[in-house]
Amino acid sequence: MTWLGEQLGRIADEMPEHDLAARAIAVHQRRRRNLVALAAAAVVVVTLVAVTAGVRALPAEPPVAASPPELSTVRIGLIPSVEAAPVYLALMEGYFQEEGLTVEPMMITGAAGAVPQAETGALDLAQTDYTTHFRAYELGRRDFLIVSSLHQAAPGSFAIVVHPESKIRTMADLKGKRVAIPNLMDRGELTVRAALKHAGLSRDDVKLVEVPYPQVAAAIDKGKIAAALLAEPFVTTFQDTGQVRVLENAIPREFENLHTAGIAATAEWVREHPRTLAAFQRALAKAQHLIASDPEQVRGVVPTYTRVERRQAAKVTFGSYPAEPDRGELQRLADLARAHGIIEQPADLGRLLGE
Amino acid sequence: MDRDAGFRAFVDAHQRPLLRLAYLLTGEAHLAEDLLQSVLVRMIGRWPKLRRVDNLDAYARKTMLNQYISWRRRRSSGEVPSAHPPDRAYTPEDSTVLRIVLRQALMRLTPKQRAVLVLRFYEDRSERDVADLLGCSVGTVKSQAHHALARLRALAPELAPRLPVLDDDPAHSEGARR
Repeated sequence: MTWLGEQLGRIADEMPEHDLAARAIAVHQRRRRNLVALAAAAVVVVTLVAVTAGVRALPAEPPVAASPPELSTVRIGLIPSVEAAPVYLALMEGYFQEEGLTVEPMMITGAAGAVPQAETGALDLAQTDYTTHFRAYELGRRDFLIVSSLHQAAPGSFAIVVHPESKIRTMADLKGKRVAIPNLMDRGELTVRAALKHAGLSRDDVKLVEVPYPQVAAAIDKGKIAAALLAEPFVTTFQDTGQVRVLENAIPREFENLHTAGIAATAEWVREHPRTLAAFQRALAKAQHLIASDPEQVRGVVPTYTRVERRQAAKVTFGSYPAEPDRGELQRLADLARAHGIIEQPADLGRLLGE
Repeated sequence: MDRDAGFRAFVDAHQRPLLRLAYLLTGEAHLAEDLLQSVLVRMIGRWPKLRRVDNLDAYARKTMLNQYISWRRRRSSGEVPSAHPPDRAYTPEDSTVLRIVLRQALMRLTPKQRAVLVLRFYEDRSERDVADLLGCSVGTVKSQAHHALARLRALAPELAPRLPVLDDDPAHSEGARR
């Protein structure tokens, strides 16, 4: 091949891959729905015109001149798991656009990585597992607010996995082994610590290492780690391809329906962009309501931003998507974080929630 | 559902090369996705009819090239991507730097010139093939390739020694005649 051809190939390598089929199908279906709705609306209009013919038309209400958001583009750091589904659904349905916002999702490997990015302004908003922010707060990085809620887990939306042929059957077998979580001292570590404790072990009985979800299967395959905490859809896809086996009954009960993800911003960003934040929250809540009325929407959108296939998406487990941060549930999470030594002081939830 | 499954299988098999082609044409990841996406949405809309098309891959490519050329024509603003080669002193041998230079120069070609170069040299297609895909004559492909390479040489002289020389390059045949 010529130098030119080779260099063009190298340039083409930069193109990130997405599953476009699912998105194309979704767009197509939405257009068809809209067309049907338009036809229905036309019928209604014709009927109304007929009914009101001869009746004096009332003066139309003047449109409310709302101020546009301060920012037209919002960069949000997201972890590519089922937790982020409402953001992508809002994107796909055009909810952000309706609010005058262009939302650019940027992939992050864990909440901890997004903290400095939000501080420097590289990100406007970032997914948080809450725990990371409880801890950041304790370490003196107090300029953060939790502005939205994303996901509440259900049994099965997280799992601890091992190599399919591994002899490890229970958490207790992990003694002395390397166990992966997305970021140290995050909710993943909290979950693993609790699971170890249940099995009569402590954090120091294993070696905790950081591996992002998408790389877990390869790391297990190469023997770099013995086990890992995974979120859906990775649990389903890696099982489907025979790369991992789920360690049954590993995750303690009280962790099965935790609020696992929300969205954080710096207090300064929130102060300076109240309308942008409100617009973002409205669009996101709309997507969350859509999911509440039709949870299958999640299966439709997950293949558009992860490598899960449609066939696999049918088997993915996900929880619910509450629109508002739940103070009681966050308190429970903070108490667990404290009980397991992730934080030392009681978390100042009032301040984190901007109350 | 059947329609979706067939469409899905097609996209799974062909999306990667198509997306790479779209990226080389547009030079921007979002635009590339938009471009391919618009082609795919169109294809799923007429999927039942498309089943009779023998070579769906070629169909997708043609639609994409067509769309791209008319797209750029419509909203061409003559903008040039802002990624500059690093400021530091560099040896022209530095392939990363050369690639950035190449990228920038490519974006300054006309859409059709870029399409011809990418199809000829990246996808390694014959002039006949390229002509079919672009719906033009072999002569046009030849002249576009010639102009494209000449423009690349003018825009980025440091690339010149590495660029291919066309067999029937008019400049060359002229030289040969002399």
